[in-house]
Amino acid sequence: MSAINLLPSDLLPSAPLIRTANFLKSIVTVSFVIFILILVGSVAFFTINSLSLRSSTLKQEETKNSIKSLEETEQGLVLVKDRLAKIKEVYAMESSSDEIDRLSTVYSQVTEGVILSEAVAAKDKLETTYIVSDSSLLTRLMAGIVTEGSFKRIDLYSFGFNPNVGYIISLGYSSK
Amino acid sequence: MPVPKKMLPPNIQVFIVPMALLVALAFFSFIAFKFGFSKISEQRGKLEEAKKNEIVLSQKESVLRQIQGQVPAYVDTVAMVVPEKNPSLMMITQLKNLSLAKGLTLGDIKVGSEVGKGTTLSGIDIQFDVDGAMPNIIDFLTSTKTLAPVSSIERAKINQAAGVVRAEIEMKVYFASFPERLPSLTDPVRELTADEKDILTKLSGFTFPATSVFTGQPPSFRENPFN
Repeated sequence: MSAINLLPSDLLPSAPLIRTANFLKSIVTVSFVIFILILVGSVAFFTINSLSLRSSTLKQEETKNSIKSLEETEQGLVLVKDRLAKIKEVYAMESSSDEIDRLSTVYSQVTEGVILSEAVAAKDKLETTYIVSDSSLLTRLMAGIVTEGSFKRIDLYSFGFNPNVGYIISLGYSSK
Repeated sequence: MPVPKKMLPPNIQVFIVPMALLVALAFFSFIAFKFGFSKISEQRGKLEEAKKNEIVLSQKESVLRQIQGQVPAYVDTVAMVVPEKNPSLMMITQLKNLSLAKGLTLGDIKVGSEVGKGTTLSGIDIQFDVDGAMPNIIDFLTSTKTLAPVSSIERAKINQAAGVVRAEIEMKVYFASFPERLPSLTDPVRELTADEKDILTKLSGFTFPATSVFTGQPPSFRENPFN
């Protein structure tokens, strides 16, 4: 038996509005389902993250304890690094260290009959004074120093002759 | 006074349920986004940091284990090369030993005041003379480079007169206070670089001052001097 609706037709909602309401209801239901799914996924994600965080914290604590047992080594390493930095700092400072090496090179040219009577090695400065008994030795000395090639510039500061000792020659060396 | 549902027009009545559901969805979504998702993003941040710390700590542990055996020897070496306290006496001993080894006479030693106090690196000026043969003096000067504590020759003046060679030398010896604080536990540790290893190799060729450790004596019976 079919249902009989005795209500006047103006008391019923219009057909397009019923369709719109039903459509809206189904959209909201689907959205609710999606929301619940996202919520469940998020809770699962949160739980997994919590577990990972806990295990990572535990692992960190273990490693920290292990590092604490190596504290002496760490202190040593810090000290070594600090001292090495200081040594580098000293090596980077200007000193007459290079000039002393060059003095050693220059001295290798001194032969019999040549006297290195004075040498001054300071920062970026090397000066020497020679007493040479004869001119052939003087030529050999000068040739030796020039061909040695350690210096960019050699300045002749003074050149003299004393009949008692021979030639007195002062040189200044520059490697910059 | 609220209007009963039956009193509402049918066109509005039909939208009540979907609208209520929509409002409920909006409310729950707001709550979830406001609290839930912010909590998750905060937790993700914590997890990322924890993972980063975990890597740093395990790397630190591995580096420390690797160098555990070598560090004590390095510490002794570097602590002698750049000591904590004024090393002038140590250096004078070293210079005396070196001059003896080179057949030279060391004299007229003067120690200056501390330079660079309060800075990271301090220095002490030492002036002295050495007498002897010219090649030995030059050898002496080059050998000071490999003496511990670390030093630098500021000026050297060599004079030769009537067969006597004398050198007036100005030297600076360096020292620095030890670091007082360890880096934080989660700070990464840097391995020794190739450059630093080179310096350590160079330092192994240094001449170190002879040191001796005095061992304490156990208490012994003391005679009464009045008996």
